[in-house]
Amino acid sequence: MTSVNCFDFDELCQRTSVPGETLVTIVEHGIITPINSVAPRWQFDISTVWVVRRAVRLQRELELDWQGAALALELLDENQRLRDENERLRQRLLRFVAAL
Amino acid sequence: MEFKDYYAILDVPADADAKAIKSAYRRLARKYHPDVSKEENAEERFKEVGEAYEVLGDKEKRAEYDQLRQYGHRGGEEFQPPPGWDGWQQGGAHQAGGSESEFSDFFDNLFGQRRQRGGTGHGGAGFGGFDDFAHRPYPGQDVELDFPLFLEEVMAAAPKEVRFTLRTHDEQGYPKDIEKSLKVRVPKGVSDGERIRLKGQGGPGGNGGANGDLYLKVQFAPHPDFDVDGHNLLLTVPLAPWEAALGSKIEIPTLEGRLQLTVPANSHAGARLRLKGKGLPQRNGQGDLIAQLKIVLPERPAEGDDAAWKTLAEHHQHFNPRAKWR
Repeated sequence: MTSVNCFDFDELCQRTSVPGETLVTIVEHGIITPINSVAPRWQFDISTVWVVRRAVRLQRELELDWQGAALALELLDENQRLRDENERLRQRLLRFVAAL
Repeated sequence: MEFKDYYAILDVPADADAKAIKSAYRRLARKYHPDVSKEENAEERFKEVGEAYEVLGDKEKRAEYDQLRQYGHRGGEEFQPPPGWDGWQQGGAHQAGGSESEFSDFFDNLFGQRRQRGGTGHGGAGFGGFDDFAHRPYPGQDVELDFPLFLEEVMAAAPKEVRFTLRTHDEQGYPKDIEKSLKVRVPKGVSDGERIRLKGQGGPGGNGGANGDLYLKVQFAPHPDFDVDGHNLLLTVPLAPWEAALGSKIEIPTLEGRLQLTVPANSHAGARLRLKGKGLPQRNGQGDLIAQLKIVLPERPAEGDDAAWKTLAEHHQHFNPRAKWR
């Protein structure tokens, strides 16, 4: 089994059931960033499919505007990144203070 | 089938007005939204709240529901629809429910079955009727699995077997679980948290629609010796005080066998020594191994230790390790 690593614009729209116009809005709000930024031949990393779905869920289900959804996602990701970093540093500190 | 008390779920009185219901829904949706919430059972609670709002937030459905509730049904009780009950049969889409949610049997029984058929965002598709929808090709669902890897496996980038259970539906629409097993090649230079996409290995599409994809979310398993920072490996190296003071050549573990490390004389605790290219593989090249020194004392003092330390103390009588506190 080998993996496939990026989507073009249409594939991402299809995979996320999001209209092209909405996907452009999502890109404009910086929620996802194309790997190569020459529109309309945008290409996206495969993980963006999950980011778009999450953004759409937040926007629709919490009735946020795109600016709000972008901010929520940014803060949630930052929060997760800090939690992970905190966990890694805690682990390293434990190794450092252990007697041997 | 259990009677659902939608008022209790939204925590509003039965005479709550539309504004109060909307406000309760918004508050609870934010609290339990699976993308946001750290609460236990968040997803389940979110679906429940969405279902409750689907009914109470809609004037007609609320009236139907209130009618049933008047017969004395209460939350948690066994519920049988009254004889002659047809359910609520109009078309239309869920507005409030989770995008991948299925409403409860109770809901389906009262308001007709409108289950979702894979993918996201079908809820608002505006289909003409259930029959059209049933015969339209629909894509299979994407599936995401955690993919734990030992650092040794990341290093070897060898094939690894993945077993998982895939939920599909038979012709009648009943759920059917299939056991799947795949050999997955661990890509060279894979990072912690990265997703590997396996095209067409997710849920099967229906009526000629494409299969969904399988996404494996890489999780590096904790290692007894090494920590990971990007593609660098971090190793905490314990040294005896004299090894740090005099310098020494010691043997350290790496993921590819043991290696000699030269500790320079007068090394401090916390000092970091970098071994180029001894970390985890990257797409092009290899990360580094970073050895961080710490100084430890013998577990049990030996005879003569005091005299040796005292000699050192006298030798360094002007050294104040806390000079910065002045």
